[in-house]
Amino acid sequence: MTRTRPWPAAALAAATAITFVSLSLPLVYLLQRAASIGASDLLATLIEPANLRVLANSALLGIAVAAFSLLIALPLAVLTTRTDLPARRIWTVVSILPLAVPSYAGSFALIAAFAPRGSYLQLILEPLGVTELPSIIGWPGAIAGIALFSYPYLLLTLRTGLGGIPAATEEVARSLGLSRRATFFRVVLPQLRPSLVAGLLLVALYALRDLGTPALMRVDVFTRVIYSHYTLSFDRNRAAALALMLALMVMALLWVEARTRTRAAYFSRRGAPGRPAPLIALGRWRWPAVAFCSTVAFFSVALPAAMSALWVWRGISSATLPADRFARGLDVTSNSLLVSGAAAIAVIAFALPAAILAARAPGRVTSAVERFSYIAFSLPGIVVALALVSAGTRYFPALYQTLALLIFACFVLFFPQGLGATRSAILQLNPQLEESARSLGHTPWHALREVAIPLVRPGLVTGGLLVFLTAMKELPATLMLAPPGFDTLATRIWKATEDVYFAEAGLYALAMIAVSGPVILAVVRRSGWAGGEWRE
Amino acid sequence: MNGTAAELELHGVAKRFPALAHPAVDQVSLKAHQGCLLALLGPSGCGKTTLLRLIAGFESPDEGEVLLDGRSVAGTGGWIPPERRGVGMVFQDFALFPHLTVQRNIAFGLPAGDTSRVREVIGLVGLEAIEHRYPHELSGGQQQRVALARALAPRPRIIVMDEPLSNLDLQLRLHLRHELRAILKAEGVTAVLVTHDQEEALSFADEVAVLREGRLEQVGPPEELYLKPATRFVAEFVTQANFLPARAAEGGYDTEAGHFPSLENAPTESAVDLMIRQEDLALDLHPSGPAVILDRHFLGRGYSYVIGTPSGLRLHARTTAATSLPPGARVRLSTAPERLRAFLR
Repeated sequence: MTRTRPWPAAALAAATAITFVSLSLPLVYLLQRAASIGASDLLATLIEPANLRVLANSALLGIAVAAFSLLIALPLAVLTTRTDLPARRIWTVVSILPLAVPSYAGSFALIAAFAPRGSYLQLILEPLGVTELPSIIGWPGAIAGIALFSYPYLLLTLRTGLGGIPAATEEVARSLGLSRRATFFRVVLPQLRPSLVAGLLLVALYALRDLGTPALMRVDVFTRVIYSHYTLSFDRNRAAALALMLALMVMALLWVEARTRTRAAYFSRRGAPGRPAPLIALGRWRWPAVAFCSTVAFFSVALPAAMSALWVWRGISSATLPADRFARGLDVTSNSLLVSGAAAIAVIAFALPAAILAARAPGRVTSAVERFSYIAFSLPGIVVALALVSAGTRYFPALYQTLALLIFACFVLFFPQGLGATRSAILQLNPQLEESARSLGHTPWHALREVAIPLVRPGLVTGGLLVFLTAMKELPATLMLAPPGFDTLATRIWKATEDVYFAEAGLYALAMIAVSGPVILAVVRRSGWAGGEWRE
Repeated sequence: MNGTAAELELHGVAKRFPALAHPAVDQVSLKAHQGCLLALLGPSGCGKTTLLRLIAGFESPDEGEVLLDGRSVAGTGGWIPPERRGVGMVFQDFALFPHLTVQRNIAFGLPAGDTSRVREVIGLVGLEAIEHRYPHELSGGQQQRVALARALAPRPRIIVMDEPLSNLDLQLRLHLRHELRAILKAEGVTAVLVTHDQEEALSFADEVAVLREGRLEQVGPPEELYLKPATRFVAEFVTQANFLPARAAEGGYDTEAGHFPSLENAPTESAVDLMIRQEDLALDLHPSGPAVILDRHFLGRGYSYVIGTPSGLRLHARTTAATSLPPGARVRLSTAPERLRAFLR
């Protein structure tokens, strides 16, 4: 079937070209910086023992967080989709809620609760003669502090994956003589593998890109080291070399993921898997299952919320949290809403043309943009921020430290996430609908506006909400690019925890949860309890 | 048939679902002997798939008993899980394992290393050239064959198939219907096929069971069902016949389209529906005939006519190509007395 260009291609292509240039800026900076260092110096920096240790730490953190997330997410996914777990729907929502808690806020709560001295647990145990707890600062804290608040990314891909496995394949396995247990390992898990790999990758990427938790838990991974070079020594070359290493590492992960997909089909033939799988009766395992879900919810939802509330209450009762902080809190919250909202709108506005082009006029240029957006996706926030700081001071001094540059950074960082959601919405749209509109005498623009966009609007809104949510929690780029005196919830929580001003950190963390929680609920509801396109 | 236990027996099996007003399966009793091909025929929602799942062990009956080879597998005699029933299953959408090749799909139910049996069934269904492909690389017909081979490989005593041909296009369906029958007969396996297509049931099966709203309406060889439908529902669903309101009279039935002689003796004056199969309705050109030709379609092997009665009822008739009547012509209607059946209203 030949397709004469049915799209107002020029306008769409222009918008896509702007996106392409924007996304390429950080990468261009990174390569240019690497070139200016010179090959031999660069190589010397890359194999410096201290840097190799940072590389090993980052790899270890990514693997450990992925493994710990798997222990949480796989049982939760099976329990909430395949069993008669009591109050299953409530657990479904609760298990996704940790996405509302930024990892630095969650880690701060862990420290407040379990730090060796002066934490709640130590104070509770003091009468028993416990004067000091084993330290949570370090690897245990870093792994728990990231995994507890990023496992939902794995959970959501696993839930989608489980939902896509036709019940009939499991029934065939049973009729061929396999027990329920053997069926799970030989039929369900292999079909789940692509979701498993994708989800583990998301979580590992999250761990590699996270700045807040490693900094709080004092683990020397790339993000923390780059940030301290940036703030303390301002050694641009060293920071750039480390950023390059981090970017290469993330790209390697993405490459491995692409390679693991074998020839076997990772799609169900007709899309819809038909009849849902019958629920497994848990029997006497139901209460241990509930205990498991409760434990996860305690650490990942209840603890951060309760700790924050406790510190706020203590701050009020000891008058260390003056009333004007609440008014300031409102200001900071509206700053966060402004930046995240603007980023979400910009991302969707530019993702839509790119997605339409990719779906309706596939060609070399459009697929290049798409692939490119995933390379940009591999650039962590701290790398993008570093690039924009550098480019800003050098080439666009007028833009440096303006709100516009901050929003632009969020646009570059979260465009791939918005494109994913938008693209899947467009791909579900039958092109014959627009063709019918055109055969009835409508112009391409009109067909687009009257038929296509109304139909994909739910997908666009979901994508926008996801970008909004991620932008709310974003830390390094906001820290490095926000105009002087401009604070968001993320930066306030961060600065308060650095100053050990727990009451204020608690206040802003509560505000963050109050804004993000409803957004999560909206996304979960919109995507039919199963999660749609969730990526970060 | 000859005193041996039937391969499959259902005794008063019933199954209810909370969402459904009437039972999905209501007091069904059935038997299938070794090597018999049994079709479960009925419109959608008649309970035929539920019945199949009860046999395979994916549902448990609320009442009654399921026996395989004389042994109770569900009901009062206890419960045998699906993996220990030895019932092979073929699904409508084939449910091939997407992560395994054709060969490994087929070997799935066999002990590891039993390559000779894999080879044998691959030969039986003619998949030699594509055994190393993955399911998504196969056509619909090939996928169907893999599903069948996979179910046959462990030599099940009985194989159940849920609309196995309905996802294929018409040409392929007709072709595979005969091939399926030949393969099953060659293996000597007992088979239960669920379908809503009466033609498929009649041409495939040795025995056909017609279901309606969970109840068994009639079971018997295809010819018997076609010639002697026990109920009006069976007559309508299986034969797609005309039904003409009639009143029993001396030696036959009076209708608005004339008198039809019959060999049956319905009580005089009783109101009945007269069943006249499309191919049994003879049309004779007659200027004062009670019926009129409304429309005709040439089918190649003959004609299909639409005929209007005085009250406006439409009847359908099929004739050979030799009977060519123009639309608008008046005709008299008749049938051979022994072909007529009447159902009391």
